[in-house]
Amino acid sequence: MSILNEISENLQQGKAKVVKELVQKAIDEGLEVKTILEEGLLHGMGIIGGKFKNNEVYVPDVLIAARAMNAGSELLKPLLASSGIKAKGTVILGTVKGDLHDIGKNLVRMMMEGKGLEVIDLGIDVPVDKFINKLKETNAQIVACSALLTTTMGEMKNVVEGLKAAGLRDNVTVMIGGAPVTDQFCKSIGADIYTPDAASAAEEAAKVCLK
Amino acid sequence: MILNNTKEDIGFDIEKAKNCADTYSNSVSVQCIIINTLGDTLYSSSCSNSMCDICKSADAPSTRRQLCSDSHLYGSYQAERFGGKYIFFCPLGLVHWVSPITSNGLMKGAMLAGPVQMVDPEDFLIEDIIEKDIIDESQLAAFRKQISRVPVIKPDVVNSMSELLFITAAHISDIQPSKYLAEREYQEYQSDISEYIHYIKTMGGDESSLESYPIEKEKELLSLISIGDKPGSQKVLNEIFGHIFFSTGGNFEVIKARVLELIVLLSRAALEGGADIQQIFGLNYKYLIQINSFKTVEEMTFWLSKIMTRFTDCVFNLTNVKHVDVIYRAVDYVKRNYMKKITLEEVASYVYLSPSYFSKIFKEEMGRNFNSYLNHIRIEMSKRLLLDDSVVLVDVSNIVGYEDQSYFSKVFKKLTGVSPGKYRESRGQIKGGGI
Repeated sequence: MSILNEISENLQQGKAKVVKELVQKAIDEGLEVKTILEEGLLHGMGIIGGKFKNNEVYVPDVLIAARAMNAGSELLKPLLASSGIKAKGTVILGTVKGDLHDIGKNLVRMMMEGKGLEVIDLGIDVPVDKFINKLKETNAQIVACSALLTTTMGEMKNVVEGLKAAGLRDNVTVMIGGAPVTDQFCKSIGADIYTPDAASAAEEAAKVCLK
Repeated sequence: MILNNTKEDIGFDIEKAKNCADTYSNSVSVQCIIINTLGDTLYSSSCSNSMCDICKSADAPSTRRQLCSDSHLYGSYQAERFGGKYIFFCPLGLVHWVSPITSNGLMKGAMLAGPVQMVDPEDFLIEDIIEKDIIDESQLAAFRKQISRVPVIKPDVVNSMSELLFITAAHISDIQPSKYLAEREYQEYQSDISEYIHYIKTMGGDESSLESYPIEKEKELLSLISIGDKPGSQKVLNEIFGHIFFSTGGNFEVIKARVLELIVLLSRAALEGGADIQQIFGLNYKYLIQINSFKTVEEMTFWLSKIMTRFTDCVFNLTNVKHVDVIYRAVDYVKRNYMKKITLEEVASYVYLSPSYFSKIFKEEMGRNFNSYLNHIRIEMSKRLLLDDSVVLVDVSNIVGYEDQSYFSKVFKKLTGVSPGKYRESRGQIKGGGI
């Protein structure tokens, strides 16, 4: 079995330590960071996600798989930083209030840090004021929100409105993302950029900061 | 720290809760504790080898104890918000699950179980904990030993244990589990729609074609309802919602308009399938009023899916009935012509059968003979008229198809237990009435 397959398999079984060792081994063998991430880690996560949808596995299984994913991707973090254009800038990142999904958001964080950006990750279930207060504190260039449920998408609009009310809207770029989010939704709530995945989110963020 | 255990202080029956905690703990061999709304432990079931005791003991640094109770409290709040149960990792990386205890509709505490591990102890990420300063190197050996004694339980069993804890906590609470279950169903439903939108996005293709309303899907939906296929129609409805969300960007007013259109369409599909027309129209009327009470798109779409189930249930399940077409058409004919002077012979000839044969199969399939059914329809219709004061009593019998008023009264009384006049007087409030 190829090492990437092994990574995927062990991730699915939640074997965080083994995943860490295998990822290190893959790095040592000279495999591309992107390949290890996509064909190893994300591949395994995708399978777990699919099984969860079909009720073949449950929350605990997803928990341990996510843990293994985090363990593996931590190793890749410093390596992502050494490729591509460097940008200087700060991003405030978070999953909106009412939503606990963070795997995608964590990936976005990693990719953005890989571009040289400083990312302040507010975590999950972040209320509007927390985004705003952090923005005031740090003068970040970008506020990036993620949501995975149609029920929580509406919160993103509240973030935009909150920024307007605080008089901060014009000085910051608002980026949004998540499974149910679309470009049209982005425009309709007055946000600036919608990106469909972590890689493009990092690209766009870097562009904004280079301006 | 154990607090004063009066019910007023705590807000729920602590003795009962202790009992439940012990029972639970004993059954699954995992420690179970009860915490209050500050994260303090009110009670802890006795369970040997408990890791938690170590973290909570006086020897442990106070920062760790605080971190521990904070994470427990956080878990309880998540459980309360999201379906009544929550499974999580404590700061040490061990697995716990929690369910809220409520009283007067508010969370007054929680039942927490754990710790367990879901993978082998060798896989335990001890370096992580050292890195996070939760323990230091000197404690490593002792810790490793403790860890190896934490029970290892497979994820699917943990899932069941968390469900069981939910049921146990519900036993001490006053909020009905059905509230949480409904909430879970709702969340699941929303995530199904979310999935589909994501699917549309990733399938690529021309964005503009994806934005256009899927008319063929609508036709598919209507045909599935008219044959009473619940899972099939649910799936297609989700897809239509996905398209609506996608193309309207979540605009409430536009979506409301679409939902209204869908209700009407769904009702017609149900009628196609043989549902009772009055029943469907009655539901429609109710729904068209209800829709104005919604404030969010999600509430509305979830409600619509329930309506669809209701309509589908109303569809007369034709596949179980022999001579399906005959009965369907005969019943349809009666419903349209009851107010006239119709006979068994007339209807039999309408469906191309001899009167005696028709009479036989009608009785077989409908469970009552033709005349009895005809009277049933007429009396039902007359009830509506009787409740309408603008219709003169003497006219009612004629309108529903009886030439002889006293005959009408006789049949009415036989089927409802009261005379038409009495029925009108009492505004239809009769006990034991109906057919």
